[in-house]
Amino acid sequence: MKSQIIPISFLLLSVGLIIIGFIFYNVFYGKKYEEEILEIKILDAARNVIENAKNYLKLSLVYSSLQAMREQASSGGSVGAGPWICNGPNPLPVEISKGCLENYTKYYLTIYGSKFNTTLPLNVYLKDFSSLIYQLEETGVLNGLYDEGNFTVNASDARISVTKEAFRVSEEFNVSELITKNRFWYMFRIFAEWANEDPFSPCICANLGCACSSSSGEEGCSSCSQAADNCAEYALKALQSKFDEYVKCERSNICCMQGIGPPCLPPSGCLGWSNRCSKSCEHTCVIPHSTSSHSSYSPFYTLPSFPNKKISFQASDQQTVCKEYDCKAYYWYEARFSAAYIFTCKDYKYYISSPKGPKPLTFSVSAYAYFRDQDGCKALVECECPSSATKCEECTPKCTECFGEIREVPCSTTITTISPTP
Amino acid sequence: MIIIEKTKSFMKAQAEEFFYLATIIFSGILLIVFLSYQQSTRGKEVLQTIQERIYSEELVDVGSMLFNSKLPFFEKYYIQAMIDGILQGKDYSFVYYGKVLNTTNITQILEPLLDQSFKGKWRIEVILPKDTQVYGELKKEKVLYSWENLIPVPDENVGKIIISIGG
Repeated sequence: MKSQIIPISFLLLSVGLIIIGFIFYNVFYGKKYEEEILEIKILDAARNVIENAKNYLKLSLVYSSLQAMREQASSGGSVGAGPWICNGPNPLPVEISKGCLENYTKYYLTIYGSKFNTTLPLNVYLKDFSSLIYQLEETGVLNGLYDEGNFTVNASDARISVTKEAFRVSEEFNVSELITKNRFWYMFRIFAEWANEDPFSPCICANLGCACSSSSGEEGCSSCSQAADNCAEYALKALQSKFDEYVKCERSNICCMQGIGPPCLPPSGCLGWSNRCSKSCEHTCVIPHSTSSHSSYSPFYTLPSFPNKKISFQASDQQTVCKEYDCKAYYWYEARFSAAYIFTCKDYKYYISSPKGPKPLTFSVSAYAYFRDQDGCKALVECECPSSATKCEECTPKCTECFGEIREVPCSTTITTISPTP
Repeated sequence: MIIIEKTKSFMKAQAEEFFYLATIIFSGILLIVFLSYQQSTRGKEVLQTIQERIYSEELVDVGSMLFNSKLPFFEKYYIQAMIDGILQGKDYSFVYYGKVLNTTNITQILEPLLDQSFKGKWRIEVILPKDTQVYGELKKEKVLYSWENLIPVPDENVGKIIISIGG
């Protein structure tokens, strides 16, 4: 029996050693492999988070640029754009619109970026894109190269870092997106052409005479309403005719003012008239969501210091003389007329993403014409002459010297000087 | 008598040897069974991990496709069309993109695409701030694997997409 114990013990010991060896092997090497696998898993997860972030930011870039374009289009090509017709052609320069688009797109992209996170137990840090560029040139825009979109928006130099304890994966990346089926620059180009042709302000200038019946220096349109509407309608037709069949335009009145000014100022053509219905012609880009800068874009100017006084004429006493006075002179006073309209065009060819689903791109541009003509209301009136006058030059002048003749007539005839009315 | 004694001793020795042999074989079998059990358990774990990885990669591929592939002619990302469909507030499957592009049916495009890989056992849930839509017929209780990512929503909002597959 003694002889059996040794081999059996040896045998059991060998089996036991093998099992213990296997267990140790699994415990130590297994742990090592487990750690490696865990590391790979974290790496995979981190890479997935980075890929997800890139996908998210790529789509964010699309939405940011579309949002910027929608907002800029509805604000006249850039937030803070002045009138495209401002007593004359004043189209927004491509560079301002482009720069403003870049500012706003970057701004929205940063907001989207700040909202990115992950449900995994990883820390994600995103450094914003340091530059965003719309790859297009002014000549291309004005030649219609980007009428259908087909331009690239590049956002570059962002960095994403994913960390978990001592583990860290970091990647620098750029995102670019080709914008297609978008007619922002088509509408911009047509509006620019229309503004350069300016069918609006010459019409307002030509209709200044409607203001001659005004009763004050500045008042809401009454006798000039029709003229303003006619000019706007004419401009609208000119605009509509430039677009293709997918674009529909309409107009809406912003303001309309008329008035009369002091008499006998030196004759002039159409001059600018500062009033409640005039606006700065300057084009700028308001910094995104900066409330203070909005205030500088008030469409109104301060009222001119010219008093609202009625212009009237003093009639002279009747005189009976044995002379026939045929002395006349020109009398004039200033005519003032101002009108502003918003011209809005919607592109039904391509709808673009918006918070309410795909909608037509709406481009709105304002046109301002605010004129005064110092001799806009001109009339030939009879002069008041003293009884001793022998020549018209001796009569009281109006805006010009009196001219004509004084004839002697039989005393039975009574001549009356009729006071002119403006 | 001596012969009988010798024969007995010989038989005893043989029996002892047989016993040793049986013990060795039994121990060997025990060891093999133990090792096989260990290996098969590990194998299952490995298989499960690999399967998980395959599914996860397939889900990532689908997610990536939704974010990076554009609908032909419409030139909108799949995910963009899905978001647009939900935002318009009517039938989320049909999205109108203007007079030239007309309408696209997003469900009709997604179904064959995902059925190719997951044979009807898929589900895409798009969660927006004000609305949620589900594409695919897989019930939530039968979901095995999911992949999710944040989605930007106009204007400056965020939603989520969850792509799930099940058995």
